[in-house]
Amino acid sequence: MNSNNVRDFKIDLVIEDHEKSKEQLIAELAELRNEILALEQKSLLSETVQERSRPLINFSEEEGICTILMVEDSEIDRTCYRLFLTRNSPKNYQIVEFSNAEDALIWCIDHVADIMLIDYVLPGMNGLDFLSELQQQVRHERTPCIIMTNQAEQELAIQSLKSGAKDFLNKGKMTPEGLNRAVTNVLQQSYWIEEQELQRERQNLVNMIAYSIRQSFELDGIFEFTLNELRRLLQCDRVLIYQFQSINGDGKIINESVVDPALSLLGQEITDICFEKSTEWVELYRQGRICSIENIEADSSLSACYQQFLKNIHVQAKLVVPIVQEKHLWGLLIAHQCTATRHWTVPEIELLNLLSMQIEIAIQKVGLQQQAQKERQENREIEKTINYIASGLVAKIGEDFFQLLICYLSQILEVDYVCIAELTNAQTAETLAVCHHQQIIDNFEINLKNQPYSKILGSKNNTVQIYQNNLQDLFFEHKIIQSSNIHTFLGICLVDSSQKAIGFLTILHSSSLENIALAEKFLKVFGSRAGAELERQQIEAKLRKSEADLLEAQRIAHVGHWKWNKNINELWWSEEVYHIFGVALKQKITFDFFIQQIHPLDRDRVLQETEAALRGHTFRTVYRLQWPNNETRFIKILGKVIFDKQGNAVAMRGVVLDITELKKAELELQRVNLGLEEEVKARMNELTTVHQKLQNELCERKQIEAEKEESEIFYSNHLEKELNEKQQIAEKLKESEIRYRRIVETSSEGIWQLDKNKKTVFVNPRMAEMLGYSVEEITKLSLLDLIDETDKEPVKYLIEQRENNLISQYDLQFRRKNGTIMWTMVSARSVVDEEGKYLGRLKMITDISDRKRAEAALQEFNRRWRSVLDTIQMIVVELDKYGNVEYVNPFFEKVFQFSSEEVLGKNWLTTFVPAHSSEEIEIVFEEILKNEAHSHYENPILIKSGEERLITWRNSVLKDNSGQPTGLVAIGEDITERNHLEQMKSEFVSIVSHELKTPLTAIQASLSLLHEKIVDPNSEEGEESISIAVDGVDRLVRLVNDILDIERLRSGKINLKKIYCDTQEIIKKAIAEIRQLAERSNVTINLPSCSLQMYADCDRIVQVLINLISNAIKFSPMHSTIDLLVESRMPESTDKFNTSSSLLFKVCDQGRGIAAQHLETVFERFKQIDASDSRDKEGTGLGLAICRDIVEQHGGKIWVESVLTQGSTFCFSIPTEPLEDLIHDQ
Amino acid sequence: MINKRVLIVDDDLGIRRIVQISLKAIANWDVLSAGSGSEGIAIAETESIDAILLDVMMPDMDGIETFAKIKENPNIQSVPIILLTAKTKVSEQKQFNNIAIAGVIMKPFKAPALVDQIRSILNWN
Repeated sequence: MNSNNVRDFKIDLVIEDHEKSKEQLIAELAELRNEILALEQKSLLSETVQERSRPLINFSEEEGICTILMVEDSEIDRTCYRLFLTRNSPKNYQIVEFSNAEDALIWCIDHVADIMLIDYVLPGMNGLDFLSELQQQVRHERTPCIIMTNQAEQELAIQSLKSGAKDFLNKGKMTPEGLNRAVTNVLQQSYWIEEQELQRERQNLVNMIAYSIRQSFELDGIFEFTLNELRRLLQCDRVLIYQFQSINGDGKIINESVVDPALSLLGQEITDICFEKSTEWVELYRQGRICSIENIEADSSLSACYQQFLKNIHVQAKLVVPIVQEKHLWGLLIAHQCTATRHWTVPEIELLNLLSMQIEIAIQKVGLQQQAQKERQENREIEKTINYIASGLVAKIGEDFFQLLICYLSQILEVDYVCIAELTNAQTAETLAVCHHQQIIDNFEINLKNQPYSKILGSKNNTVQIYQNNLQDLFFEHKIIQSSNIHTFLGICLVDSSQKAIGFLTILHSSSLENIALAEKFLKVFGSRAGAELERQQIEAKLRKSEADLLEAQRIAHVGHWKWNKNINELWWSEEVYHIFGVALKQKITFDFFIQQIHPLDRDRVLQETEAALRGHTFRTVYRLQWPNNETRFIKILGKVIFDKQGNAVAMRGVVLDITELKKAELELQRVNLGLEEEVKARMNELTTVHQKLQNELCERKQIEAEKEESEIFYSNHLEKELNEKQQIAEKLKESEIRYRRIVETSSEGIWQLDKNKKTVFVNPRMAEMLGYSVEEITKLSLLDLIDETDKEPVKYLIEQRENNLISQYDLQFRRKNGTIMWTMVSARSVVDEEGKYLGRLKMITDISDRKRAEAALQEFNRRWRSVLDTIQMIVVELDKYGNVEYVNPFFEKVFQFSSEEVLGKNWLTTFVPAHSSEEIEIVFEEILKNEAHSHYENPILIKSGEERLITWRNSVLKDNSGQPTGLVAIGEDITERNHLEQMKSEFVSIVSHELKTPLTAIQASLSLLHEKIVDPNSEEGEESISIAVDGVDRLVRLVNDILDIERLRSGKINLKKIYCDTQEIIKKAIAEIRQLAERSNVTINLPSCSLQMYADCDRIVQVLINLISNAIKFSPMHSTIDLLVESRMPESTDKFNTSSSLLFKVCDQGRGIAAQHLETVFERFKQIDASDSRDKEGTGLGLAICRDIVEQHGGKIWVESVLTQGSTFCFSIPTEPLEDLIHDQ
Repeated sequence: MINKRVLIVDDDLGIRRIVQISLKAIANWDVLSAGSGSEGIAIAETESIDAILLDVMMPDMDGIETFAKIKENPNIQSVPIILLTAKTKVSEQKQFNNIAIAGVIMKPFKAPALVDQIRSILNWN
């Protein structure tokens, strides 16, 4: 003992208790000395027997006893420390003291302390050597230790802690509080470490047991492993599993783990009478009660009888937790301490409880597995039987399938009635077959109003409806049930492939069925097969009816159909073809036979047309047929050629029509037409003759008139001489004049005669009527007075010339009395005397106003039509019958880039039709001219540049007066762009449809597995199915949101909420969204430090940045860097239309880059470079398209710069000022 | 009886897995899976396969091209092929009429219906 220590100690004491007087301190010291002496006498203290096992001390419990091993050579110091630790201490310490290390080591062989206080300076070996020796002696035990020393050196402190000491105390500064605090802290720390290790060990145990449960289906093995591990961990004497065998608590110990075989209770059945009020405690355990008893003898809650029972099986402390299966108490998991009482700690109770839960899982799992095995075994048996029956049925399809089926069912299931019925309409069903004790009985009708039937027909998902009570009430109109005392009724709905109910299969039995589950299974299996067979039969019946209808229709219409397999030269005729050809049905038909039936004059033509059809032309021909009775029939035959993949004709099929009657009618019509034509010709000849006669009469009249003039002259000269003759002539003349005046006066044309001085000599009443004057008025007027001003000069000229023109004809405008214009055609001829001397003019004037109006209207029509053709935005082409261009309109020139001069006269088919479709268009052209077919047609044409444009045409045939085609007019519309847009739209819809259906497929398939209970949701497959469905839903949601976003942006339904925003804020928001993704991908993002302003919709710009940066992250390699740059950009001086300044955002990555040809297309919808990216990278293929729409709506631009394998830079610009203001300023 | 072995070729992992789970759980068929046409051909050449379920719309090599390559390959050309497609338009389906596939199954599908359709197309009773 170092006296300095004592002095220091005293000083410390004095310092600590500076309020005490000197006398008080001396008294305390004396007291201490006395105590030391007393303690020295009690040296036996160090030999106290301790339990080897060391229960864990919970420092929260004050009553816990804690053993402290103190190794200190100074007796005074030991006494001081003991007093420090025992006086006023809340803890209950048991202190074992040694003055040297060697004795302490010996004590440690059989004992374990909770904490050690070791003096560094000890005789023999120092404190650290002691620790080292102790560690070698007790390898696994580690008692926490505090080293005490006067040498307050840092190096020593470190050395102590390295050697395993938990704390280091300077004796010189030791105080009661300091020591207590150090001991408490070290104990607490040690407790926590031990607690942690124990918990880890427990967790490991639970995990191992859980793992073994998942690996094994063998309950005994699981129990044995669990109990052994549990006993090792709890260090108790016995753990066991008690399984209940009745509700009064009786049961059996089915598994155990014991420290000593003598304690074994395995296999014992416990039926102790002490289990009083068993239902109560059983119920308590069922509800989850945990029973922890430290000391059986001291526990007053136990009855004496039960205490005795426990004592008999050597129980001093016990811990019991229940094992529950589906709310029933299955058994108990029990831990016993047999050699001593025991305090069960909370973690121990928790451990037992956890293991009981694992045991519950194991029991449940093994139970389910056994049940599944049993069911599988049963199912296999049933399946064997079903397959046996089914194979028998399959072999006999075609015989009466339904009778066979129900007889088999009746036999196998040993039931009274099996019945299969078909729905005839919504209210009634008719039995297809009924079997009574394996005998087929009469069919009957069923009333579907009986409620069970509607239930059967309502449950279409292959479920069996079962009725076992009150059948007579339920089936009020069912003869068999009412009369045969039926007790059990099973029914299943038969459905077709579209899940529509078409019938039902029922079983009726007079008592309850023993194996109703088997019957249900058979109904399910054969219900679906019977449904398929019924559907097949229904379809066959429909087909037969349809065939019969077709044959009947063909017979009525005299139409037959035929097939010819060219390769094997096999010809097949429908029945009506035989009738049409007048050939017996038994006749063997070949192609040569068919040719022989054709009229000799038509045979070559038919053969040629057949050959042409096989080369790809349409087979449509009419020919004559010679019946065996030599009657000639007219046949029309239409055919279609069938080509194989290589384009070779392999077969033909088509129809044959007997058109003899039609042809006869046509011939009759032709004959009538010819008759009519003849008649018309005859009438025309008659008319011509009459016309000629009239002409002759007119000439004659004119001649007579001349003669009359002559006569008048003659009369005046020879009046006196030839009085008699004159009289006669006068009479003749009078007659003639009367005749001709009648002609002139009744003529429908005007007649006007002028003398050589242009004075009117005669005007007939018709002429006066035409002009609106009286004859007298007109006679007084000159011809020129009545002519319209526009024609006066030419007429004057004509009049001057007329003496030289004996006959002339011209159009002339008269002005009527009422001022209106009258167009006339004037035929004038000079009147001359016998010597040829000019006497005047005789004019025949015809009113042609109507013709002139019609001509004007026609001209106007032509003008308008030309104007339409010149301005219409449609292509107009006129071709002659050889296909040469006769007219093209200006729009044609615009589209085809040819001038009309370059086009007119060129052949359309060789000049404007691309080579690949010229053959087709040639046929179409012929058919248009011949049959007026193809009034609408679509085909590509070549324009001057060689480019192909797709045109849709409306064709009209031009005909001459005889109705023969002379050419065609085609009006065309250029639909190249429209067609392209439609293709793009169709492609987009197709892609969207595919993109939506892909996740839908995963979702539907997964959910159907779970919904149909095909996989257990708790199994690995079930969990994966749920995960696949959830992934699918996530993807679908992303896709739908993106599609909606892009459609809203494009349709303008999203209004940008533009404000002035700060780039730092925007970038901050975007980065917050994608930080996690960047961290997961180990990618660093360098952000700009500048803060700039722009006028934009902040949220949308954040959306663009998130899209671009997350793309950059997804395509960046690990540990790479992404640079985000923002710079201000002034307008380019060369761009006079864009004078706004803007901000340029750049997102640069070090990813795989983009090939030059994809730099534009990446911004299109669903245009990832690699389509699989959309799934691998969790994208939708719409992100960049959305970005482009947002940026362009801001008036900005977006683009990408990239070199393959060297990374990409996505750039976009956003104007800094409102665009409206800029426009306004400009 | 030896289990049927079916190869699913689809670029979508979710569909591949759920088809695998479904065919195994419902029909106890072994299912191999390939994420692309070329991978599918490689598997078909090395493994014994009873049928191939082939997605039509795949990147790189689509189902129709994959089908043509399989039919050109004498080692595997006899394996029946069922196309899986989301195409519903008549015009889109016309292209299937001219090729010698065993059948077409429309997406989306329920798991039991998928098995039923495969059985029906291939007469696997």
